[in-house]
Amino acid sequence: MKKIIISVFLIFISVSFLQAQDMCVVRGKVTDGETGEALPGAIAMVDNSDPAIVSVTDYDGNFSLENVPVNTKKIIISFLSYETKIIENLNLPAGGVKVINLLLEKTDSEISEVFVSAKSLTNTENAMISYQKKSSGLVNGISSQQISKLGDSDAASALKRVSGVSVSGGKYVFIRGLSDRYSMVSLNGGEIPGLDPNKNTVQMDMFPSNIIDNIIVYKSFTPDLPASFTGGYINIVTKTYPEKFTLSFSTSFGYNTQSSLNKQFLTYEGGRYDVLGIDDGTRSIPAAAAGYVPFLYENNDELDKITGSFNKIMKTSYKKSFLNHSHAFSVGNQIKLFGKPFGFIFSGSCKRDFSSYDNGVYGRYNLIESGSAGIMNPLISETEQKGDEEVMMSFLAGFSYKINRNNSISLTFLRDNSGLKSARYREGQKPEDNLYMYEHVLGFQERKFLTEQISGIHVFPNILNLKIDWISSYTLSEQREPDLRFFNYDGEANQYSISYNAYPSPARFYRNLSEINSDTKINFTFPVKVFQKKSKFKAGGAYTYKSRISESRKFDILSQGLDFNGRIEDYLSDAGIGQNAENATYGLYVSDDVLTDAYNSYTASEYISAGYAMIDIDLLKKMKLITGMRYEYSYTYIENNVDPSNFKHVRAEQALNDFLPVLNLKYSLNKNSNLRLVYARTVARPAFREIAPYAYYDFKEGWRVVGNPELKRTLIDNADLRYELFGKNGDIFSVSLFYKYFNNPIELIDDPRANNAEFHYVNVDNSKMYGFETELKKHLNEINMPNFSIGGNYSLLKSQVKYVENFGSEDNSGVILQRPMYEQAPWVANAYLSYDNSDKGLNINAAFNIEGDKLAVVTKGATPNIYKKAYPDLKFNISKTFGKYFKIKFNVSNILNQNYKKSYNYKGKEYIFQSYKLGRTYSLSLSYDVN
Amino acid sequence: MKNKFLKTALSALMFSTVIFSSCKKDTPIEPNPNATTYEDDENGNITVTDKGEGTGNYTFTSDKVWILNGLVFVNDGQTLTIEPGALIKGKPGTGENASALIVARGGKINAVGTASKPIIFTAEADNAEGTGVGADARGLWGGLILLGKATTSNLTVDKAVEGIPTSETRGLYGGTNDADNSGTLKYVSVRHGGTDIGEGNEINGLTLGAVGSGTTIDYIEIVANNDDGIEFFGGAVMVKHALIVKCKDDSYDYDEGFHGKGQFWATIQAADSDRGGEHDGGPGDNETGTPYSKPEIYNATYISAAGSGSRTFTLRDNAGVTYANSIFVNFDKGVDIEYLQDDQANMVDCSYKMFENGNVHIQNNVFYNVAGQTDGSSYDSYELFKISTPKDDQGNPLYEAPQDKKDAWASAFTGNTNKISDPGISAANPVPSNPQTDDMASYPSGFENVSYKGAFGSTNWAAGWTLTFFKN
Repeated sequence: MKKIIISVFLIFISVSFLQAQDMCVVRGKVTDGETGEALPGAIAMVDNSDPAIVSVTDYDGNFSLENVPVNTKKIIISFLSYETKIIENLNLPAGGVKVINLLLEKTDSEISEVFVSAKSLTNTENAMISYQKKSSGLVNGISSQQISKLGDSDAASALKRVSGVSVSGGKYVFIRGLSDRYSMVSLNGGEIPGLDPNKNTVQMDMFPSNIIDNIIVYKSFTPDLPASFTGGYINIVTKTYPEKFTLSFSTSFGYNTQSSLNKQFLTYEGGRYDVLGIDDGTRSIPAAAAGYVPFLYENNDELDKITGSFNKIMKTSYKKSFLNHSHAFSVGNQIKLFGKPFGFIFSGSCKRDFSSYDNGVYGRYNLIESGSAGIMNPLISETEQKGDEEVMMSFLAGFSYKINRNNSISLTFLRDNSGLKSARYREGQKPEDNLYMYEHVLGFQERKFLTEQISGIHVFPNILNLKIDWISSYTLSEQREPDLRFFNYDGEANQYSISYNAYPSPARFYRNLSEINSDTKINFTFPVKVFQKKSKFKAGGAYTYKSRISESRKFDILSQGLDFNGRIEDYLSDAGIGQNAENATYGLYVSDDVLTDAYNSYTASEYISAGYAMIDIDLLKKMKLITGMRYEYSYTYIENNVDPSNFKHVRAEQALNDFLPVLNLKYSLNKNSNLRLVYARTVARPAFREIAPYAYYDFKEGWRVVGNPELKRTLIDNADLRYELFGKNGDIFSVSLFYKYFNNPIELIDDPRANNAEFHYVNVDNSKMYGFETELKKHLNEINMPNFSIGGNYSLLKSQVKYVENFGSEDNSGVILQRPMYEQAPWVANAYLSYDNSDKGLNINAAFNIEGDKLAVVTKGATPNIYKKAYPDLKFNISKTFGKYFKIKFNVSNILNQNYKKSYNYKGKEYIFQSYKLGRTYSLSLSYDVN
Repeated sequence: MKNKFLKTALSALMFSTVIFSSCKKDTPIEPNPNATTYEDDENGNITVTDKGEGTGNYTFTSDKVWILNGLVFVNDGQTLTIEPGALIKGKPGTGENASALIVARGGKINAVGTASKPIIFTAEADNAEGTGVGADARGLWGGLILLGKATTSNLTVDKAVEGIPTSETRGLYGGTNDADNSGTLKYVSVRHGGTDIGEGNEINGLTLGAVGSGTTIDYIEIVANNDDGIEFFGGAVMVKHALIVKCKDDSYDYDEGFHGKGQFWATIQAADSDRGGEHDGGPGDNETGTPYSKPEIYNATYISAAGSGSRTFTLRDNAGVTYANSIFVNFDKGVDIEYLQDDQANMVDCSYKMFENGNVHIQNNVFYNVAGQTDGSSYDSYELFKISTPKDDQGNPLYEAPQDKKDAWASAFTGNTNKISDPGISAANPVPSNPQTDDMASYPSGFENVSYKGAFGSTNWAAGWTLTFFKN
């Protein structure tokens, strides 16, 4: 099988060299300069050819001129009522492929010829801007070119550069300050699953840069998009097949000042395949413990056997770390298969990163108030060390076949794997109980992701010029967290103990989440005349299904007073297990509760059927109206994994119908600037867990969350006003104002009746949010700084949640919550300075990102909430090409190396919740590119 | 194969429905899915599973063993009667599986045992003689929880008992009636409980949430619980003749404005037990709220295991107390009281201020071998009566209490007729060989007017019916 794949692969590559040596192929795409849309029917012609070498652009604006003599001087592109472009300085490659993409502007004059040099015609960033310009909604995007320029390694860090976007925890994206509930992510337009059991959010670090062609962020809803986003809808577009043969390899090594080649890298003894990010079974639940675990005194012999079957490693240790390194390859081509164009791309990458610190501080406080006096009373005050080792592998395959001018089919496969091994160690005071504590946490997380997509485009020139496009996407994903181990103890100088009234007992936790998503969409587009005006009508439907299984299991490691000498390995040794002598105190044993495990596990699914119709009318000469309506029916279902015959089995379901209108006006002030006004209604549905009618304990967070089957979905009215000015070479300036009114938003609030932290999902009557965004990209040619460009964006957001909950009776009211929305940054700023000299192959960039303090942890009672402090992130990179194929790049990231800090603030004084530094990273990469 | 049959609270009703509806055509009988089941294995064991409707008005008879399967509630309006000599066992399990008997607000328990026929609550693996499991084994099942409608100092009237989510409304306590009556517990022994009910909360041996003074609790033994022996959350109940033995955490714990009474409270601690008494005023978010925690406790006998590092009792979070005619022995640390001040070093509301305002009375007690003090003529009262202040993040005091406060507090030891004297008691025999009968504080109403200090006079009232003194 392998041989066949390799030989097919070689054929694909070699076919492209079968061109005659004095001939070449010229391919490209023609775009309408005004609308930014593909221009079908334009004519591309080799000047002075006989017989004429001509190609007419297809529905996607693509043309292909074959057997073009390499000495050709000019190629002419023309279209009725558009200017004619004559391309010179062709520099055609013998036996190769030349790619020419260009814009044609509309013209009123009879003959308008523009001469352009082929050199200036390849800029994907321009394509992104033109997409932004033509789009009927409000969009921002980032191209692969820009991602690589700024040196971002995955989708999460690339998205930080988009105006109004912030990233939390290195993976969760917030758009316009709105969290997971209000944003959506898709891959090539097909919905993909999130891998968090409690959230509906996609982990963006799963998409390495080398598979990304571009990322588009839709900030306003149009009826052809799913309606369940309010902050934004992110579409990650993977690389498509190239116009001609491309081959690239790259390899990169990075040195982090704290984590690389460090002999004191915090880790623990794991399995054989940890370096690959795969657990070899070391962390699986032992076979003996897979089934029922008897309770103490129920069957002690069996229990002892089970206790002894677990591995004895619950302690962190040190090892020497290596350099960060990553490697990627990509190959693609367009060939003829049965006489028709067939394009393909294969792309793969792997990386291994080390991240650690031993400079961390961790503290917890509660506010003691007595009259006017208040004291932030320290509950825990510890130092913190952490070591994370992450391995990520991804593979992308894309195929596209053009059956004829009007029909094409594409296939995409994406496979991602990641493994994260992490160790954390804390020690310090627990003043409340007069203890000096030690905490070891050992974790491992495996994420897998497999997506298959098939899509097609069909144009029927004879039937209303109808265009049909469709995509069907199927994704399997899994997140495993096997054997998350916790071991806490306290004491000093040969006097140690495990005080499980003061902190949780040693435990092992296993969690698995798997999800299947399928998403099928179809769109019909055709031109119509409305009131004699040229218009475009679009209608379509979508059916999305997702189903999820979340399972967890927890074993407590207990003893009835077994001596603890401060050595974890002694405590866990077989000698301590069970009862050694008659009437002796019982030693080590495990305790597991099948019912609790089943109660906290769940199966859930969601179906959404949608249909929409919209029309795009040129209302006035300069005014475009886009209006329409989307209908969505959703059905959500969740049940916990308790046997249905047990009364603790719970299930909940919710079916909803929503009509979501859009009214969108675009007024062209002149050729280069637009004024846009958008109104749209969107929906935010409760996540699975939120409608589950029972309280579950979030073991990782340490609090209880109560679901609510009565929870209503939120309807959001969105209004946006944007001014945008487009300049040359992708320059852009835009200013936006937006306002959002949330009807019945869902918020998590602390129940004051509870003894421990217990959060409830409730519908607040309403909340409002407004903001301002501005974006600038500018080349500095005009001020005599050729090759220099600057850019940046700034967003200012304000939201407030205010609520009084009665909790059943007036007597329990008086709970007022007044705070910004959770995890919402009040402002986000980005800036970059870039020098790009393509003649010398030299590129230098500096990029800066910062976001304002944001609410990170909502605390119980009067204790101030915990905020994540602003973190200034500065990056620098320089790259230089050598010869035709090689490029060397040097990158410095996290230059400022500030403290990552979360803290309480009380009476103007800061109290640290968590603080650490991650060190600077210097990396050097070498790449080889043929294109 | 055991021939099981279901005896549900509603089975009789259902049966009659079947009979009376049999003349109708094809009326389907829907069994009530929330009905409590009483499952009899015909070996004398009846397993009780509460699916929401509580025990109903029901009697646990002494001829059967009653096995609590999960949380079993006596709901509002229901009365559970337990016959003398009845044996009640809790199934093992934690979290969702934790078993406990909970008398909800408005429910009543009528568990009146006798010295010869005590009512025993223990683990499923145990037996009435207490030989089924290790003598000190803890956390094998839940415990006994009484919830009432008396007042607390919580910000909200309703409060959820530890470990039970607010969505289970039967787990809420609190109200406005201090005279509320949750029933009677008499000659009841609760053994080996304290399982983790969720979130690291172990169930106390006896939890009393807002229990009113109409409730009678007399002759109670709590043995080897994994948490506190008895914990009071607000309420006004009086507990008499209580013996707490070898519990993991504190023996007697109160919080949230407990303002009841106690007489004849005894504890015998293990080496790993915590304080004799942990006494908090208000909850963390309302420490100075009212009603204040200031119970009156007379005739306590607290015995610790010397060398275990345990403290006699702690007063904090604005707690007050009266401890009189009591005996404390073998605690490594004395009594401490919390002092709080503002940024200008002015004292604010705290337990120390409660002391200054006459809400803390520790008087006419006998201490022996507490904080190392054994000499009645020469002792360090600063060690016996200490002041605690908040700590910084390194565990050091943020500030010291002013010297005059320290002096006033320490001198209250002798000033209140407390003394150092060996009563001649031990864990094996808490009855003083050297009876302490002089300098008696007089009793307020509601207390038995006995002429000795400590929980025991010349006899051991725990003898014969408790696990601890079963052989006596």
